[in-house]
Order: sequence, then structure tokens, then C-alpha cells
Amino acid sequence: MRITNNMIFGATTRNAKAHLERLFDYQQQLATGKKINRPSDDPTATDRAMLLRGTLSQQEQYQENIRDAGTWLTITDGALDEAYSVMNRARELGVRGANDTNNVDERNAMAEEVKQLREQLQVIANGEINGRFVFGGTMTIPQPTATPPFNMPYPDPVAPATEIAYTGNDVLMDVEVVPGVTVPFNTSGAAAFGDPADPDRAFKVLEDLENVLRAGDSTQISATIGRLDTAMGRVTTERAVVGARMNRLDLLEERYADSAISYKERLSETEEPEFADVVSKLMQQEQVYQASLAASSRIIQPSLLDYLR
Amino acid sequence: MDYSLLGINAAVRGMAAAQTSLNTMGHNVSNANVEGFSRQRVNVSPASPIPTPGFNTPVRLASLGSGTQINGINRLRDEFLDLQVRRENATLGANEAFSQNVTLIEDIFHEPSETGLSKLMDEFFNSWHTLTSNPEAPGVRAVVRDQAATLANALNDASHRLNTQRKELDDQVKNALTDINLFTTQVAQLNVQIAEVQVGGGSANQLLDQRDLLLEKVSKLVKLQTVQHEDGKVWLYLDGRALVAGNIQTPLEFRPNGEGGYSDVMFEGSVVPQSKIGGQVGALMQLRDDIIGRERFRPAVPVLPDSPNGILHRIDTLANQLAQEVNALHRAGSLTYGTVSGLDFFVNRINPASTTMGAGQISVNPDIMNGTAGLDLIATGGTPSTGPGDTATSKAIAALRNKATMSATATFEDDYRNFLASLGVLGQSADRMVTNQGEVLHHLAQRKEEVSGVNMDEEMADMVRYQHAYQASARALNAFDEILDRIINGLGAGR
Repeated sequence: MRITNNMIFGATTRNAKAHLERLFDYQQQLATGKKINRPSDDPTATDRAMLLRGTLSQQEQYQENIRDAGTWLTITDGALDEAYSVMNRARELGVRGANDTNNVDERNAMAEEVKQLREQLQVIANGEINGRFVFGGTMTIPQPTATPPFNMPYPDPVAPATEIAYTGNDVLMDVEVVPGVTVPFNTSGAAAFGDPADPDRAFKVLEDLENVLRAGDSTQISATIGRLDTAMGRVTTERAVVGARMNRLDLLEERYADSAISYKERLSETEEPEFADVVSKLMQQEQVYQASLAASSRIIQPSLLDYLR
Repeated sequence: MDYSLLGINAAVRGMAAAQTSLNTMGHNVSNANVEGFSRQRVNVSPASPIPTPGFNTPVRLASLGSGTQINGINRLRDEFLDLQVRRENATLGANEAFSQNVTLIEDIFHEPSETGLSKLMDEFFNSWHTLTSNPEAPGVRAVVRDQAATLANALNDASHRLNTQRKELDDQVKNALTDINLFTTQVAQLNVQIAEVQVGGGSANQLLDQRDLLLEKVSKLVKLQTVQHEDGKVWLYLDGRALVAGNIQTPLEFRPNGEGGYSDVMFEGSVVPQSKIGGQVGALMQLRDDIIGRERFRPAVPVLPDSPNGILHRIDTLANQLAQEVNALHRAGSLTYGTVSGLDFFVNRINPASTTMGAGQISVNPDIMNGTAGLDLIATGGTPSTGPGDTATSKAIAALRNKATMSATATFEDDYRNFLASLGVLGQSADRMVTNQGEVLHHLAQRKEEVSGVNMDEEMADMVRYQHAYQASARALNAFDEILDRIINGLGAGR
């Protein structure tokens, strides 16, 4: 092979350029912490990275949805617990009132307390989260012309207790927690406190209890207590439903937390260079580069001219 | 018997040959770094011998050498290597153009990253999820609106930058054609000069080097066929079209092609099909018309065929499909207090009357963008709505993310990922081809250099050689001088 000066110079610059390019690549990887900066660096890895990132982002949103639904469920659970206590207190009063030893004043006092309890239950049933009614179904905020879900002209000390109407609905609101799968998070007032058509609806039963206590008929009081048990049973059932939903969401949340870790790991495997590996390659490349420059410097300088006379 | 004066002639010829070689060597050394230069060698041969009759025979028995004779100065070059370089150059030119421009396109999309379009699509759908959890909150509605506007802006921007790049590609083609026409004009001129020199029996080394260099340059720009004719002229063809026919050069022209602002390559009044052009120009046009391609929903200009695999077409289709799916759900959805919306979420910002829109035209409905009042126009509920908490519509829009909207299996993000992947594959294969083809051409260039390149040491050694040859010839002349001196001044009666 015939070697010319241009070949030597050409090879010198060409090699230096190739070595520098590789050095630059490693330096870039270390500086940015990424081994793929554009799809053509590695189309398959780019596709995988984008897919993983998309999945992660979606899962984070699902976790967000789960937390939002969880807040709603926790508050619902608390409200139902409170409602149960209120009704239980009314039941105790009823049981005591059924005893014939009570005089009129005592029974009227009991009736008064039952009335207070019923008003308390109304406050619970009208409870809100961030300005949204908990038990209103999708009637979460007052329509410009509408009223809270369990409305009563309140307080109204003069008029006899009127039935409390339910102005909400029993539509379940839900959020997506897995693609295509939704979990309902609200409990409708009708389910917790009884449908308006149901004779054993909580507000009606409490109203009746107040009236029979004033009347003082122990048989009727006992019968009303029986109806109250039905109403309380409804609250207990709904609490069980809420509890089951909370468990389901907790499980999902845990699963997402776990899978997020493994997705993140895979994303960093896909996108990020192995630090130690790149550093050692960088060092190696540096040496090769210096060696090639040193070799070039020895070969470029001498010529026959140096030795002719 | 001998002719003593003959030796003088031989010596003079030797000196002349040595001097010419020294000149040529000087020429080689001084041109060592000139692009396209081929080293030259003096072609010498023994001069015709002089027949000398013998003493006893009249027949010509011996022939006496009469020194050396210069036949010409040749350039050292392997024409076959030139041919190979020209053939491989077109592929390199094409892939260099692909590699550089695909990089620019990739920069527009900036993936994979936390800031690319895919992230914005994620955020857009996520905001609808958040709205589903809080349909009554004006703050969340504002987030939905802003995310949608950000996504629309990013699509507008991508479309704008792709169009700008198409325009730049168009300019690059124009510049390349100017170069080609300049080069082919020069080739035609050189053809004339070379033929003249060669007819006169001379060697047109420099002119040939110049012409070879031009051919090498043109062959990178387009797929060039060359035919060498006996008269020393070279004819250049582009897919059978004679760019240079002997002395005559015919230019390639760049004429508007009916798509506003873009041009086609024309030869003698007819279009040269893009697939026949090859080289860098062919690749640039392919990038312009097929890889980036034309917009799908462009304003009504004289229509040219669409490029359904073009990037612009694909992001236009993506943007349009997104708008159609979201709009259909949004129009049918209900507002907070149960009014049916009937309003498109996305509208065409260039032509509001049009229901279709590409990436360049998509924007959030200006009614929705209109301050606080606009926020109320975002539909969340189903129809009929059961109440302010009804989120059937926002839930359905959020669920579009996982719906196969672009094909039987592909979601929006699948589709986006797919076309980025095919862009990546194109870029990667172009990068590889540039490397591989670069190796091939480097190897050919090495071999050319091996034949035609100047080696200083060689030239130095030659210099010493010819210096010695010159001195020796001079010495011989000196000897004849002494002989003649003896004959003329040392012999005879005159003393």
C-alpha cells in the first residue's frame, strides 16, 4: 500500500474526529443523565420510554382519583357513623318512653329531645365537602332556584314538625380508577335515610316517634322503635358498602404505589445510562484519544527532508 | 566508426529529461494539498537508436542509443475508482440529507421528554379526570381550559415548524440546483478545452483533474450517469436526460408546482420525477413531499396529492380526530345546571366555519376561552343531566385517552408514538447509512489517494535521483567537451 502525506493527515483528523465524537457522546450521557435524546438514538427504547411515561402519568392520575374518592368516602363514613349515633340516642329515648312509669312532662322532654335529634340528623344529611352535598346524589350544589337535599323550614319553633323532603337524587357518582373500570364514591340520601315513598324513612320515623312519645301510648312507641331499627339497619348497611369501597380503593392505591416503583425503574433503565459503565468507557475513550494524538504527532513531523543533508 | 558529436546530443537530452522531471516534481509538491489533484509523472522512453553500419558489413547491425526522449506528462489516476466514487456518492448525499433533516424534525417533537406533545396529551386527559372528581370547581375548569389551550398551541407550533422546515428544504433544493447548473456549465466548457488539447496531442492533466472534481461534486447532488466519449468529452445524464452533451449544457430549472410557494425540478419544460433524481436533491425533495409531506387541511390551493404517511398529515389527522372525538362528546354534554351544551370544545382557528381542523388550525373555542364566563361553558354532565355532580361527559372525554380512536387498536398516544418510532427508524437507518457509506467512500478515497496522491518522501527521493541524473548528464557533456577540445585544439598541423 502506498501511503501519501494526505492520507496521514486525513487519517489523523478523521480518527481524532471519531474519538471526539465518542467522547462527546459519553460526556453528553453523563451531563444529561439520558442515553436517548431523540427517537433515532434508539427507536425501540424511545417507544418504550414514551409508553412507560404515559402509563406512569395515567397511573398518577388514577391515584389522584382514588384519593379524591377516598376523601369523599371517609367523610361519608363519618357522617353515617354520626347519623347512627343520633338515631341510637333517639332509640334509647324511645325505649325509656315506652316504660309506663314516665309522666307527661318527662315524655314531652323526651319528645323534645327526639325533635332536636331529628334536626341534628338533618344537619348531618345536609353535610358538605368543599361546598358539595355529600348525600345529594348528583345534586351536589344548590341549583340557582333549588334547596339543600333534605330541606326543612328550619328552625321553625311555631309550626308543628313537617316532613323533611329529599330534593337530591340517587345517582351514583364514580371515578375511573383502572382503564374502563369506575368506582362509585357517593351514598345517596335515599339509600342512607330512606326513600321518600318508604314508610320507614328515618326522618318520618323520628317525627312519628316524637308524636307517639307526646301521646304516651307505649304500644305505639314500641312499634315505632321497631321501625327505627329498620332505619338504623339501613345506615349500617350503607356504612358496610362505604367500607367495602374504601378497602377496594386502598388495595388499588397500594397496587399503584408498587407498580409505580417498578415502572419508574424500567423507565430509568430505558432512558438513563449506567453511570459506572459510562464513566469507565469515557476514561477508556480518553486514553485511546490521547494515544492516537500522540501517535499522530510522532508520524506527522518527520519527513525525508529532515535527513537529507 | 563512431560519431563523437552524437554523445553531446544524448547528454543534453538526459539533462532536459531530468530537468523536466524536476519541474514536474516541483509541480506535484506544490499541488500536494490541492483538492482533486493527481500527481504527474514525466513519461520518458529511449530515443530512437541510430543505425550504425559495421566496418565490414554494409548492413545495419548495431544501433546506437541517442539518449532519452520525453513523450509527455501523464497524471496518475484510476478512472475506474472515479466511476465507483461517483456511483456511491449519490447514496451518501441522500443519506446525509436524511440524517441531518430527520434530526431537525425530531427536535421539533422533543421526545422522549417531560415536555413533549405526549406529556401535554397526558396532562390534557388528566385534567378531565380531575374535573370529573370536582365538576363544580371553577379552578379545575380553568386547568382543563389551560391544558387544552397548551396542547392546541403545541400542535400549532409543531405544524408551523414543520412547514417552515419544508420551506427550508425547498430552498436547499433551489441552491443545489444552482450549484448543479454551475458545475455542468463548467463541465461543458472543460469538455471543449480538453478536446482541443487532446486533438493537438497534448495532455490536459489539470483540466481533467478539474473536470473529475466537478463530476464528483455533481454526483453527490443527483444520481448521475457519465459516458466518456473518444474525443475526450464526457456526457452527463440524469435519468436519460442529457445535462451535458459534449459542448452543450442544459440547465435544470426549479418551477412552481401548483402548491403555493413550492417548486419542482424541470428539464426542458417537463417535470423530473422525484424518484428519478436521487442523491441529495432527491432526498431533500422526498423529505419535503413525502416524509414531512403536505398539510391535510390546508387552505384550498390547486390540490396536489396528499402524502398519507407524511408527518404533517399524521399530526393533522391526530389533531382532527382529537377535536372530533372531544367535540362530539362535548356538544352532547350538559352544563352544570342541565343546559345541553351544543358547543364545540375545539374549533378551527383559521376557518371557523370548518368543522375539520389540522394541527395548524386546532384551538380551544374562543367562547370557552372568554374569561370566567367561558368556564361555565365547559360541559361535564351527561344528557339529560341528573345534576351538577353529573360527570358523564367529562368522564367520557377523560376515557378517550384509552379508546382506540385512531384505528381499530390505536389510541391517540399509540398513534403519536408510532409515527415518532417510524421517524426514529428512518433517522437511525440514515445515520447508519451515512456511517457505512462514509466508510465505503473513505476506502475508495484512500485507494484514489494511493494512486494519485503525493507522497513528499517519494518526491524528495525523486528530486535527489533527478538531481544526480542531471549532474551525470552534465558530466557526460563535460567529457565530450574535453574530447572535442583535444580534437580541435590538441591535434593537427596548426600547432
